[in-house]
Amino acid sequence: MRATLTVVRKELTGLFASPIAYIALTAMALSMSLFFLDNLKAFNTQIMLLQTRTAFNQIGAGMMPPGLNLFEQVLLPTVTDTALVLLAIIPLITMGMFCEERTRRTDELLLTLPLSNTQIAAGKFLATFVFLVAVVAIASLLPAISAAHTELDMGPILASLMGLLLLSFALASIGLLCSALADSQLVAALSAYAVSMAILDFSWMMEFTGDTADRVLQYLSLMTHMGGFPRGIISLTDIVYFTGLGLGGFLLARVSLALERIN
Amino acid sequence: MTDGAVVEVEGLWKDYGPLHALADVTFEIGQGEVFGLLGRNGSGKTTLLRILTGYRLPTAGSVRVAGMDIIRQSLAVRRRIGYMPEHPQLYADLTVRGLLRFVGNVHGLSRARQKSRIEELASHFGLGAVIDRLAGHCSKGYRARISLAAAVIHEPQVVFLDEPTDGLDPEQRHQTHELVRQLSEKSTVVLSSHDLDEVGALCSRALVLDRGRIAKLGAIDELGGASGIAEVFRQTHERDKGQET
Repeated sequence: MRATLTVVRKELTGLFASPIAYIALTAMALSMSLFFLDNLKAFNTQIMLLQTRTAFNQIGAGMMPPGLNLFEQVLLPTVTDTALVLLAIIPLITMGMFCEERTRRTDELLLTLPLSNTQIAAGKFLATFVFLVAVVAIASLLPAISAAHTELDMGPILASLMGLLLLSFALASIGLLCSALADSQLVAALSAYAVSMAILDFSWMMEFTGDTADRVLQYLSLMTHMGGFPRGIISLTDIVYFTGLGLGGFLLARVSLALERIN
Repeated sequence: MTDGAVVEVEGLWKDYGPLHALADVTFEIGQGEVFGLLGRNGSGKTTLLRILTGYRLPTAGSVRVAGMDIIRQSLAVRRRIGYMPEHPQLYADLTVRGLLRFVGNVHGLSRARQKSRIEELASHFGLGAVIDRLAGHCSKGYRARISLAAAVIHEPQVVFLDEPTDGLDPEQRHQTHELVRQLSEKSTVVLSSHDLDEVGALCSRALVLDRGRIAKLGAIDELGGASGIAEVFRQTHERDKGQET
């Protein structure tokens, strides 16, 4: 365990020594703020319209249309948008994890230390995940500030954050696997984008497939499993899907490390 | 196999596709020896060192280092060895101290032991001036010494050095030779080099590789010193030239 944590610490030092970490954190903070303000603006417009209609007695005072509240109009869409930002930044974080070791030839030092392939892969994977927890923590700031100023149902918000963490877990392992297989960081990032986008939503394929294939494709789509969290539904199927994807990617990255020693 | 052998290699093969990088290599290195690996470019020296250090796996054959099998007990072997690769590349984002701490931590040294070893190595290898600088940004001479310090921080039983003086100026070469002599007081040293004089001066025995096969193996005196080994090189060179024409 100590050896794995040593690798985690080294990777985090390397991550925070590179501009990519700060670009990712800034991108997350900026995009979250923009999404939040944009959603808030749309919410305010609807409130103003409602007030106008109330003034002209088109609807009764105090009558609020269903779904028109801060939670559903502002916070939930903002948290959902975060998933797309994560999809954009995770390949940038993971692209160098294995690939850079090979291009800079530091792998010769790492692979001759008393570290097993599992410890190396786990160290890199955990470091990426710890960083992504920080990214998701930034995403949770706006809901937290809103909750301090108004009464909010925290259940769906906490479930959404859990969904984002599970999504990060799965996307990080896809990114790490691509980094373990690719020869250059650019190829690693592009292939991670390609795989992530490919599994994001398979619904377009369902037009050409039968019922059984439809069900399989629907199960394999990331979007299918992200839908429940913003509604406060934490399903075991979704947890199994994301952790399965994460562990699968991690194991394949570990295997590719073992194969590297044979070559 | 002989009692007291620290490195035992038997019938070792390494193939890269159809190319035999190493072919039926068998030798032993005894405890406390400074053993030279010689050969022209592409003769298989680096491949051999990479297998002995667990960085690459052999295609066939058996390799035991410090009494343990390099495949089945790879981690245990790597705990007992130190390795300085050819043209050492160091982490650009770690300071020299950070790098030595990282290696010490992986080897399980306590915090206090790490601190004392880093101080000891910094003074011994003349790293005081760069100890808090980023390791990857140091000069070639410093990088060689940092890599050597990282290889021996845990006081390994066997140290593998792949062309440790390549690209260094005469003063740095002299310093590295002194360090190798000091290392050999506590550890077995396996030194790969192009430099016949270097091997002649530092090593007690040597192995000359030619196209992945053993061309000569024995005590430096038996091989005729640097001039005797040079003759082996000349013969292989002449043969290759003859085959090209």
